[in-house]
Amino acid sequence: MKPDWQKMSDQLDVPTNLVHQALRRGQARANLRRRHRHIGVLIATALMLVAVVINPLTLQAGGVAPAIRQLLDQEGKKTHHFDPTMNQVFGDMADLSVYQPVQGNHVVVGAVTLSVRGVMAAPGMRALVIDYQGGHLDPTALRKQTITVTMTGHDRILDVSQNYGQIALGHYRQFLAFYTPAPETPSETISIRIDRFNGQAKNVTLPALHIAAPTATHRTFALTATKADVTGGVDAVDAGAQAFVLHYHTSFTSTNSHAKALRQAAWISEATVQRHGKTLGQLLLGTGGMRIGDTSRGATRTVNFQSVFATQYQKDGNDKALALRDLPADATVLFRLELPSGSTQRDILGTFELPVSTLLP
Amino acid sequence: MAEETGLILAAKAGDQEALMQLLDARQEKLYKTAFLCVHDPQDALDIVQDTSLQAFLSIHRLRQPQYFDTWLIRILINVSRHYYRRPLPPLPAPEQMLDAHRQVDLHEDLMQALAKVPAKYRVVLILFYFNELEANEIAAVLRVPTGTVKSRLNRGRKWLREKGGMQHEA
Repeated sequence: MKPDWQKMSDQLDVPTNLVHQALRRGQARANLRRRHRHIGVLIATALMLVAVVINPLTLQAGGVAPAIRQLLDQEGKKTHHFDPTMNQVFGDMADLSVYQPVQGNHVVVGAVTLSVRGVMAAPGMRALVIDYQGGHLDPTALRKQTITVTMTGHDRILDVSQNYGQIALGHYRQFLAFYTPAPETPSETISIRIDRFNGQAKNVTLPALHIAAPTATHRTFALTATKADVTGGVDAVDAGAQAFVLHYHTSFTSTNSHAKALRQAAWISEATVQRHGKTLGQLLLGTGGMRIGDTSRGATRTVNFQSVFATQYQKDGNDKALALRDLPADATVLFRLELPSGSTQRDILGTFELPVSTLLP
Repeated sequence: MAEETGLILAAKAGDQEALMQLLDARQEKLYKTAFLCVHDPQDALDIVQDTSLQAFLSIHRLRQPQYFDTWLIRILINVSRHYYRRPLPPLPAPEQMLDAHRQVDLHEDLMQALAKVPAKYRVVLILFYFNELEANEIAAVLRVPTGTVKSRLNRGRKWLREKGGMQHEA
């Protein structure tokens, strides 16, 4: 018997009125949340003026190991998002190279103490481990908190993912991870605001975290490809042990018929690991096609983008991730630069092959 | 298509009614996909509501209008993951259905079978067969390699065949 998906779909009743109401309720909640954000900013500003005891924390591997089976849980309702790349990059709690000391790490809210146990940083990605200790903690309410993260030097951050786990009675641990779509700066400040703290009508701002940018090796390239009056190229890599940021660009004239779309987007989101012409797998993509900025010279406009990849790859059909550093020196990675087009298919501008060694520190 | 692109661009620029119009046009797809994921009408409506919430909050981050549907389905799938760990409610037995026609039985067989498929395979099956996305599009939605999608698709099919009572599947 062949499953008849179309028939099944046709026979599903859709309560259109209720669905429309649900869509409207979503819109109303979005508007409410935006208003709360504005109020939250005011409260956050006030709270940041309050002096907080700052205790430098030197991280130990065992110290931050969260009792969360999977940092960002795909199967459960613990998180809005599941990001396998973040799990691969930050999943090894014994890897001390991603940990950074934290200063100004705790705040007391009623009977609950919140403390940031550690910050983990890889090029283009950050993660934090936050402990909640005290009475009357409600795990369901914790999961419904709204977390807002901001960083100096970054207009926006992407894909905040989170998960919670219980460590002991009255002790919960939160894992929070996100992407940073901007060039790295030597030092940065991370601010975290928690709305609806523990199910209460309270907004909490953690003390600002001052951390250094992750260690990365910067390498420049001059690889270009041209197709139909559009030139694109890979410019540089910021290579870290766990992840790297690939910088690339597109150039075109303002008279190009697709100029409007080209100003907005270009993607390097596929990277094939290969050796001697044989495909070994695909690099784990963190986030691709992040638009960094643009410049104009005469009629030519150049738009800069970046993508974040983990330094691990997966073989087709295999969930296990393998490390790039374990590959022989003659292995390469083939990056594919795609452009927006009028159709639903993307145009491939060109491919760029880089030795694996150039993507590692 | 041009009108739809115009609506998406307007929505990106902050026109809430434009986004509502786009969502309304997809309400059947949204509800059915959610229902197939969780098999509960109320949960499906909650998922639609949360999807709408996230869509209104993040429409400005949509980079390319032609990927609106992929972007929207990604939100819905992410939202519906909240509900996976709940045990799926049993569907009414065929004799209790209002329409006990044989075709409905067939439909319910597949529904029952799908409900038993592990979540990570079920999502891929729904996106592939019901939403008619290609493997690479599913990979983009789920942010996993295409190979992983293919393997989950194969395992999901195998699961349906072996444990869902399907004898043959093309």
